Formats: sequence, structure tokens, C-alpha cells
Amino acid sequence: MTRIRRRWAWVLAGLLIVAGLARVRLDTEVLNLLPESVPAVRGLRLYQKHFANSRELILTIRAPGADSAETAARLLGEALRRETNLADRVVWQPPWIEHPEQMAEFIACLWLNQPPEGMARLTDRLAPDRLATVALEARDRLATSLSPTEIARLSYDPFGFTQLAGAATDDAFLNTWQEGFASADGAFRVLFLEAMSEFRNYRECARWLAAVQEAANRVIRSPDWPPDTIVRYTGPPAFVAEISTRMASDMRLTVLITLAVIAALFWWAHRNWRPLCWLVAALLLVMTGALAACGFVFGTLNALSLGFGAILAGLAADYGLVVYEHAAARPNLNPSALRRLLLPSLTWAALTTATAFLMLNFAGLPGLSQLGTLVGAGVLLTPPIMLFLFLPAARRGVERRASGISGSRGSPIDRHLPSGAHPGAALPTGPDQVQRGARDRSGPGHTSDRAQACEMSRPAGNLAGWRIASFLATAIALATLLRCGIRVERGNVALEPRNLHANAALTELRQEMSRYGEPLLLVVSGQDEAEVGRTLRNLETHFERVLDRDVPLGPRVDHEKTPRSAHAASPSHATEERVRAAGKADARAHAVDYSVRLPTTIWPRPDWHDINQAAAIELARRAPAIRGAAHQAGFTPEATALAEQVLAVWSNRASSRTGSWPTNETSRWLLERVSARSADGWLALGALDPTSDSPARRAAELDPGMPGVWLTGWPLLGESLVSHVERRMAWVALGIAAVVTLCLWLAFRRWTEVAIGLGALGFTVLVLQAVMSAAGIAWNLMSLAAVPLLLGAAVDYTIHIQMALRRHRGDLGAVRRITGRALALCAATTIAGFGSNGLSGNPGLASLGLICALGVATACITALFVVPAWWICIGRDEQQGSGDGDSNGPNLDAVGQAALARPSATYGPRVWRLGLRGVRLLPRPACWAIGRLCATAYGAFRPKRLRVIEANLLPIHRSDRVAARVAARRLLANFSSKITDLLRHESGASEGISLSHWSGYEIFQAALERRQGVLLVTPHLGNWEIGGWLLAQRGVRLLVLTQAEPGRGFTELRQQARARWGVETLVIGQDAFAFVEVIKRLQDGAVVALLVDRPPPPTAVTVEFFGRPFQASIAPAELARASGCALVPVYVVADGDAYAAHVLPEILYDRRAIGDREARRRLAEQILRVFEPVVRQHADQWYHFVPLWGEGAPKTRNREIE
Amino acid sequence: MRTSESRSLFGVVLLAFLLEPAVLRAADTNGVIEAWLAAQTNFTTWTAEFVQTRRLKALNQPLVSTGHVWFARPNRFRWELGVPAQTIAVRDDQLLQVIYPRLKRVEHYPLDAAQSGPMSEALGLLDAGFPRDRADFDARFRVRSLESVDQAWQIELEPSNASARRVMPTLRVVLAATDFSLLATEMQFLDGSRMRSDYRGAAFNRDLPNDLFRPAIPPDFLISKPLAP
Repeated sequence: MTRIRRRWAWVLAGLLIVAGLARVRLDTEVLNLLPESVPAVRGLRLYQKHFANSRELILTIRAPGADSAETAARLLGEALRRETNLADRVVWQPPWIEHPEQMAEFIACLWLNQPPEGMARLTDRLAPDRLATVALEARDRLATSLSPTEIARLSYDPFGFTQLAGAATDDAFLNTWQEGFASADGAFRVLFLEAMSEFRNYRECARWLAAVQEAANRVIRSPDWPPDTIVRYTGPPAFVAEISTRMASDMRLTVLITLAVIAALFWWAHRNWRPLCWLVAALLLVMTGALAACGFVFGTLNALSLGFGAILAGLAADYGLVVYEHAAARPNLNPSALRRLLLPSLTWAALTTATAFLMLNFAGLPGLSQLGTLVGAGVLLTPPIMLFLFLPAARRGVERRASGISGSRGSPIDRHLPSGAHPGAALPTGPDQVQRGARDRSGPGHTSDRAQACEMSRPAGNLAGWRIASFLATAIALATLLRCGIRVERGNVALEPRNLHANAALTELRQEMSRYGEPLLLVVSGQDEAEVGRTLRNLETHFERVLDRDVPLGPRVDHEKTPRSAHAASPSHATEERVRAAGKADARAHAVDYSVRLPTTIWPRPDWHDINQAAAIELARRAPAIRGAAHQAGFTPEATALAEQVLAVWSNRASSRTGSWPTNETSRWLLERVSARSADGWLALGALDPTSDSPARRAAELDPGMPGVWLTGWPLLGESLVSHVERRMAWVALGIAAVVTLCLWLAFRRWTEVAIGLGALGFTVLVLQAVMSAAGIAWNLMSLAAVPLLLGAAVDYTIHIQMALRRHRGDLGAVRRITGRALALCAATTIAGFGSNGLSGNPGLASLGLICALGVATACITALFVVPAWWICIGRDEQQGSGDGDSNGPNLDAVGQAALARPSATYGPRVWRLGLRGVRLLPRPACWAIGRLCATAYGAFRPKRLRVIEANLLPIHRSDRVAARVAARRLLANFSSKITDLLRHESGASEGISLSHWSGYEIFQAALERRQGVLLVTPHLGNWEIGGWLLAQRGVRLLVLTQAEPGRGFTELRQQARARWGVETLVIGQDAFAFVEVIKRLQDGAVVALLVDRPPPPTAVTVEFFGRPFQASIAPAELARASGCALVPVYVVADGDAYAAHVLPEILYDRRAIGDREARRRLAEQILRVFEPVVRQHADQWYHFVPLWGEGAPKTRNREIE
Repeated sequence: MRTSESRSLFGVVLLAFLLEPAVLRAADTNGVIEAWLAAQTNFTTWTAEFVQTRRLKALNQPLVSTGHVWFARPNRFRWELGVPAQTIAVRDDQLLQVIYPRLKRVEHYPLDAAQSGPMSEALGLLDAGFPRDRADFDARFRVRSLESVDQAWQIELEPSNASARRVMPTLRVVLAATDFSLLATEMQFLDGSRMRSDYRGAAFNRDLPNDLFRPAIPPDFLISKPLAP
């Protein structure tokens, strides 16, 4: 049944994994790695979402000259337009060049958004009585103008429809033929290609890109293609295709490298291929499980998290190695016992490591949060997978090798050991044992083994030398730091993918189109167009002041702008040249280091729109007159085409009540660059362009600080993110340091060793930083996360080494050979896991992996060589051998013995009252759960008490420390349930407490019917207090003999609780008259209950119990002699969720024969030994928390009650 | 002569006749350019009257204006268009001024800004007939063709600069075949409109007063600097 259940569990797990994996999507967006709370990130996200077209591919063309570039762009554009299955839209020159007629609607809308005075001037100019004059003036200007631009404009706009107040259309319509599409020299051009639809996934995007490239290559191979002309690809589809493909291959590569290194290390160490295969399978299952969890929780895997697989493999391999080592070191233990043995240590190790990684959720970077969560989840999955999947295979592998079936050769470790020995087993420590081990094998080849075995016992290395070396290393590291300093990279290097063709193309594009570097973006949001418009005007005013300009800014077209920011807004010539002149005037006192571009002129003004619409309708009615005046003046119909189209738009808008925005394709192409509609309202895009190579101000100083305005851009990102992460990482590191200190204290309970551990961590960090400084490796916003990771990972090493030093009492050779070798293996796998990420295309992840690998290596070397040197110097003197060594019980001094001989401080009236209140509020299962949690915490925080319990159980488990340890933990858990039920019983909330069965009640009944008194004797087993309640339910009144409870009022509290159920309490103290009362009551036929183990000193005698001297109560024998009562052994133990009561056969005695003390002692022994099989069966319910055996047991007092 | 030989000879002659103009044109083009440029060095000043005919696609009838032009080496000029002058363009070493006497308005364009900005086309139109040297000529123009028409050389040029080509794809210069003096310049615009200036009464090396190129602006004229910050 268990096997079937296990199989179904594996099937279910498999289905869950498949379902989770199916949900995983690759997230290539770098911004999703970054925190939303940073304004620059939020702004950039808005920009990416609303202004960066995810379907738009950008092709760049570099040619020897402007003509070649233009020819190439035209050929490519026309060819790609014919690929109607690939391209929805291809733009290689300003759309208004190809469709000048579409500018009419744009101009018409601009007029409607002009100040009413501007429209009034137009209306006045086009007054019926002035039309002829205006037309003739235009003709006269055509005759005398010396400007070809003016001639061209007047030819097709004699009435000045393109002469808006902000001159938004001047250059857009006539002058900026190539700006935004070509560099200043014309040899570099840009082409935009928009896909037919959104891409469903990265594979579809990659296929589309390949098809476009193939179509482009056909053009490039054609004879018309200009020579030496290169085409490159960038834009969102190119990035998605390249990054996601790179991500997938990076993930595969790092995982494969890590697994290969792990497999190689395991093979080198153990030469056992079956467990190796199972280990790899287990690691793959761990990674797959974590990835499936990612699918359920996150749904997407970002560029940073793809490194989780390798990191997780490196960490999880440690657990596999530990499992294997223990399986090999303890061949006598079956898998279940090994699981019980290893579960606590693996669980705690997994919890500490997982905690360190989960702390990355506080690092302030969502990308790192996901990485930390994935690794943390995977680490938590590792213990069950290693214990239930890998452990049986490891056992089988060890058995096979031991029996010689596998034929595997001995590992380098095994070849150097005596036969039958294993690194994990106890090794010979003296020459005689070495000789015996050597004689067990024959053959000359083993002579060297014997010599080597003799070598094993000597402590390795010169410890004083290592201490001196640590001082020197510290000094050198400090000197290196002083000289080289600590570098922090504040740019975007960590974010920009490495070696991406799309990125290189984008960089080239920015360099060609932006003379002085990348512009900063201004994203303006508002609930409606009016709000955005107001904000734009406020920004204009603000930047006029800030940028030291004394004339109002108008929108402009910058010759160096990127195509994406090709606003339709363009300045007058004057404004344009002002910008250029300003950029060159570095000698001015207030250098203008930035110029601002805002779409203020083209942004709709609903208030003006409504006013101007009336005038526009009136003008539209004058179309025939305008046409006539132009004809009269000698103009052809072509000359008035623009005017007529503008008037037609006004006329149509009047009837159709359309909005403020033009709708044709050219207008939309222009407006998409500067405006967007969001779910919350409207967005506008502006820009701040640097006008020199070294702007005087830092970009961040230009933030206007207005609500709804984000100053953003990639140049801003690095600085703001590093500051954001630095602040948080400091707190995270402090948190980790606190957790680490706590872990060290819980592990060692001695400040010396805690100090050594902290010192080792500090030394590791110092040396790591020195190495980084010397090698020129800088911290960046991603690699800063290595600090908490290293602290969490490195603390394990110091704990392992110091624990091993304790265990082996300073035998450094044994420590290095066993724990050290295992640590080195574990560190190697972890280094492999982190280090393989150094090959990642994501520089942030690569730097994180490199620094972690260096850090782990440093921590391992520190733990192996520096820590022992200092531990042996200062840590060993204080060591009291309190580890899990060979002593039968805790080695305590007098103070410790006295402390442990007393009940726990938690047993008192306050805690009891708190418990009584608490159990009334919660149901029984919840109370049990909380109780077990408290028991676990108690065991963790009071290990000495736990060791007392272990020592008490040792004789029962025939000196099997492992079984005793396991039973001790179970005892604590059971005790919590017992106390919970007792509190519920005493508080009156007894529902849920039931009796599963009651055996032997007839024995008690028979004794009761004799009416000579019944003395119920029981040990501290199970929940004996419940017995009184059970008897009361059957109408039996019980008198319970107890000692005084500790604390004021506690005895009374317990008495009242028992009395509620009809149980009377008699406190036995030092008062001899209490026994007289008991004798009298027995003689009257009462039923009295008494605990027989752990008696008060006056009634304690030494008996044999489980083959050892034990202090038992002589009171039952005394009472039997005095009253002639029946002695009936009883006990109540937990039976699942219920309780089972048992009455054992009456203990018969001869009253006359127990006249002397020795006879009564023997009777006391007989009484106690009746419970031996019961206690052995329910050892984990035999509740004693003070030492019962050996030196720690309470001493018997000489005075006894007669 | 036998028939076959006659045919061969005829073919050779025909081929030579066909080839000759191409070969000659290539050599003549360079020679003509060089001769023209060499002729430029023979004078320090040049003045002439012109008749400017503007055949614009937007107008039914051509616009004809008369005017006068003065040119002084290396790069000063004065164009007066219309009688009385309705537009005056004056350039000295530092400044290009466009004066509209009727509107009482003057526009000042510093030369460095003008040469790289939108006024570059205007400058090209005004001084196209006066290249400084071969390097300057090659930097500004590419020769498309050379024709001999009515004892004059007609050189068809295209601006080297792509943006200038967008505005003014073709420029024709007509030179006298005898002395390579400038007879006419014609600009063709993108829409096919043409502006031709025919020069007559040219005079060389006259003394031209400096104030011709630095006119005094009446105080009631409005001076604007469109390219100023």
C-alpha cells in the first residue's frame, strides 16, 4: 500500500512538474529585472509599453556615401514592401515625402489647436476682400525671393496654411527630408519595418526575423545593390529573438557545465557510477521541480533567473554528497534510519541556505528576487529528493561496492585507507590499530598504505604558520584595498546584454543619429489630453528657466535625433540654429548643456479646438473663393491643392464630429512617436538632448519633479539603480549577518567559536574584495547581491569545520581528511554552479557568478586552513567535549548539573495560565501544531536539555545513540501534545480527547471490590493525569498524591483543575503526617494514585531498572505494608489521536514479608520493573527532563520516612 | 576598293564618329571646366545685368524680373532683383544680408551658420556661377553632362550634397565658348520648376566700392537675425 501510495505520489509530482514547465515563458525584457519603485524604471517601462513598438524592426544601412545609402534604403524598402506576408508597414523615408497630401489633415488639426489669435489671423488673411491681395503678394514673393525653400513653399501654399505659430510643419513638410532617417552625412540610414501582428512567443519572433533577413539578403545579393553597403538589425523583435535564444542556450550551457563538473568530481571522489547517475537524476529533478514552481508562481523566467539552474545544481550537489558520505560511513543503518539521522541536519542546512537566497527578495531587484526564490525553493526541495530518491540508490551503490559486485575501482580516498574503513567511519587513531588494519590485508602493495595510515593521525600543516599567514593576508588585503579602492560600476553595464548584434546595431544607430549621446526621455502622463497639455506647457516653462533660455521653446526637429523620437514638431530655422549655436557656446557663463523637445505645439487643446472650429468651418465655406483668387493671380490648381485639402478636412470634421487627432497613416506615424493612449489616460513623450560631449550637469539634476512626469532613459538607470540597491543591500547584508550570528550561536553556544566564525567570514570578505580590487573587478547593481549569498553560503563551511574540530577533539588530520575533503568537494560543486554563469551573455549574472565563485573558493580555503589554526589556538581550550562524542550523557559541571536537575523554567503558573487561555481559543489540531512547533524550538534552543533526554533513553535503546536521539526528539513532540491535551482537559475543553480502548479494567474492579484500598501506581508515562478523569467518568473517586508544584499558586491551580473532575489532590512534601492521612484513606477503601519514578528524595531508593541503578519510590511499598492495599499498575498512553488505558495484573505481596526495608526496596523494584516492557514500548512517552542515570541524576538523600 | 574593304572602312569611320563625341566629351568636360576656372582667375570683379525667368509649376505664366549682380573675389556678391530693387542679397566676408526695401526689413545670416543650415541652398543659388577653384567646385558639384549649344558650353551639374539635391537637383551653367564667361545659370527644382538668369553687359575688373557689399541700413528698417539664439 505504501509502495502504491509512493508511486501515485511520484506520478502526481510528475504531472505537477509537467504542468508547471508548460507555463514557463522566457521574459527577455530587461526592465522586468528592475524595481518599479525607481522612477527612472517606471518611466522607462511606460516608454517601452506605449512608445516602443514591439513589432517594429529597425534596419540600419551603412554605405560609403549618401547616394549609396539612399539607393540601398530605397531598394530594401521597396523589396520589403512587396513581402506582404512579413511586413505591415515599411518606412524608409519620412512618410510625408511619399504622401505629402496626407499632411493636409495634420496641418488642419494643428490649426484647430492653435491659439485662437493665430486662427483669427488666418481668417483675417483669408477674408474675402483680401484674398486677391494675398494671392498677388504670394506671386510677387515668388518672383523676388532668393530662397529656394521659400519659393517651394509659396508655390504650393500661397495662402500660408503651413505658417502656423510654432512653425510645426515648416521643416516637417518641406525641409527635413531625411532627418530621423539619415545621419548628418547621409551615409547611415534607417528603415522601419513593422510586423503584421504581435508575436506569440520568442520562437515565432525568431522565425519572422530570419524570414526578413532572408528577404533582405536577396536584395543585397542583387546587382543593383551598392557595394560595401552593410545592413544590420535592431529594435524590439531583434532583441527578443537574440536575447531569448541566448537565454535558452545560456541556461543549457551553464547547467550542462555544472552537471559535468559535479559528475567529474563525484567520479573522482567515489568511482561509483550508479550513485553518480542517480545523483545527476536527482539534481535534474530538483532543477526541474524549481522551474515548475517558477511556472506556477511567476509564469515567466527572466534573464537573471536563468542562472538558477547551475547555482541550484552546485548547491544541491552538496546534499547529495553528504547523503552519500553518510550512507557509506554507516553501512549498518537502513535507509529509514539514515533518513531520520540526516533529516534534521539537511533540513537546517537547507533552511539556512534557502533563507539567504530568499533574502534576495529584499534586495530591491525583481530579477534577483526571482533568482533567489527559485534557488531557495529548489534548495528546500533538495532534502526530500536526496533522502527519498538518491539515498536508496546511494546505499545500493555502497553495498555493491562493498561486496565487490559493481567492480568499481576504489576511489582515491579509499585507496589510502585500511580495509573496511571509510572516510566517514571512525579511523584508527593509534599505531596499534593501524597495524591491525594493515595486517588485515595481504600483499606488498599495502605497505605504503600502512605508512600512509600512520600519517593520518598527525595533525596536518604548521598551524602557527597559518595564523601568521592569515595576519599577512589581512595586511596585504588591506594594503591592496587602500591602494586600489573598491570600485562600483554605476552605469548600465550590468543590464546591457553582451555581444548582442542587435545591441551593437543600436549603439551604432545612437552614435550616428545623436551627435552628443543618447537623449533623456520625458514621459508625461495625465488623465486626459487637457491635463497632459497643461503639464507640457509647465515643462516648457520650467526648462526655459532651467536651461537658461530667454525665448520660448518651440518643438523642433533635431538633425541628430533617433528615429523613434522623430517628433512631427519642428522649429523655425531660427530656433534650430539657436540650438546649434547654444551647443557650441561653451564659453558662456551658463552653458546650455541640454536642449528640450516637447510636443507642445501639436498637442491638442480642446478649449482652443472648440473655438477655432467655428472659424475653420467658416473658412471652409470660402474654398471656392480662395480657389478663384489663386487662379486669378495666375496659380495653377496644384498650387491650391494643399489649401483645398485643409479646408476639406475642416469641413468634414464639422460634420462628422471627429476628435482632435488626425487619423491618416502619415499623421499616425508621426503622432505615435510622441503620444499614446493608456488605460488611465494619455501619455506624451519629450526628450532632453545633450548639446555637448560633456554636459555640465548630471542627468539626474534635470528631473523637474512634477507629478505625472518621469525623467527617464538608459543613462539614468544605472546610477539610480545602484543607489537603490546599495541602500537595500546594506540592510539585507545586516539582516543576513544577524541571521548568521544567530545560526553560529545556535550551533556552537560558545562566543569563542562564534567569534571565530564571524572572523572567518570577515576574512573571506576582505580577501575577496582585495582580489577583486587587484583584478579590477567592480561591483555592479547585480553583483551586489553576492554579498548576502556569500554570507549565507560561507557560514556553512565554518560551522562544518568547527563542528568537526569539536567532534575529533582537534585532530586536524582527521578533520581535513573527512570533513575537509567533503567540504572541498561541496565547495567545488558550488563554485562550478556559480562559475558557469560567468559564461552567461547577461553581464549582471556573469559578474554575480564570478564573484560568488571567487567568494566560495575563498571561504573554503579560509575554513580549511585558517579556521582550524585559530580554533586550535583559542577555541580548543574552552571545548568541553559537549558535542556528539562518546560520553554517555552531557558532560556538565556542577552548576550545569544543578540547573538540569531542576524542572524547566517554562513549567510554572504563568505559562500554565497562558496555556489554559490559549487552548480554549483554538481547536485541538491547531493546539497540537503550535505545541509541536514550540517543542521543536525548545529542542533547538535548549540542546543540553535534549541531550539529557537522550541520555535518559539510552539504556532503553541499548546504548544506540542514534535511536535515542531520534526518540528524544519524538518525545519532545509527544510531550507537547500531552501538555496540550492536559491543558484542554484542565480548562474544561475536553472535546476531542477520547479513549481508544481500556484493557484490564476488570483487574482494577476486582481489587476495588475487596474494599481494602487500591493504590494505583504508574510511571511518568503517557498522560497519566487523564487517568483520573477516566476513573471519574466511571464514578470512581480518586486521590492523587503529588509533590508541590513550583511557583506561587501553581499547586492550588492544579488542585482546582483536578477537583473539577472529582479528583482529590494530596500534596506530599516533607510532612510525614501526609502519609498518615493516605494510610487512613486506603484503609477506608479509597483509590489512591502515585507516581513511582523520579520520587522526592525522602522516598527514593535505588533499584535496578533497565539493568542500571535507578531511583524509584519506596512509597508504594511503605503504603502497602501500612495499609495492606492492593497494588495495581496502570498507565495511559497516547494511541494516535486518542488515548489507551491499561491496567496490568495486580502486584501481589506478602504483607508480613515486607516488614524490613530491604524487602520493601525489593517490592519497589518489582513494582517498577513491571513497567520495563511498557516503558520500552512507549519510550518516547516516558517524560523525564532531568538526568535519571549517572552523574547528573539527583542524589538520593540519606533521610527517609519510616 | 573592294566592297568588303569599303564596308570595313565605313564601319571604322562610323565607329570613330560614334565614339569620338564620348571621348571628346570626357576630355572636353574636364577641359571646359578647367578653362572656365582658369578664366575665373582673370578677373577680380564682375558685374552684369540679368533677366531672371522663373517658370514655376505652380504658376500658369512665367515670372520675369530684371536685376543686377555684382561679384568681387573671393566671395562677395550683391544681387538686386527687380527695378526698383525688391530683394537685395549682399554677402561680404562674414555676413549674408537679405534686404527687402519695400517691406523695410533686413535679415542677417552669419555665414558659418548659413552655410550649414537651410540658407545653404540660397547661397548655392546665388554664387553657383563663381566657383573659387577646382577643389571648391568638385566639393559642391558633380558634372552630369556637357553640351555645345550655339557657340556656348552648357554644363549640367548636380549638387554633391544630398539635401541640396533634394531642393535643387540640377543646375545648368552656360559659358561662352570663346572666353568661358558666364552667360546664364539655370536652377531646376524638385517639382520641375526652373529659374534661369541670363546675363548681359558683363563687365570685368571694375572698381567696386566697399559699401556696395556693406550697405547702410536705414534706421527705420527692421533687422532680424533668424538664426540667432
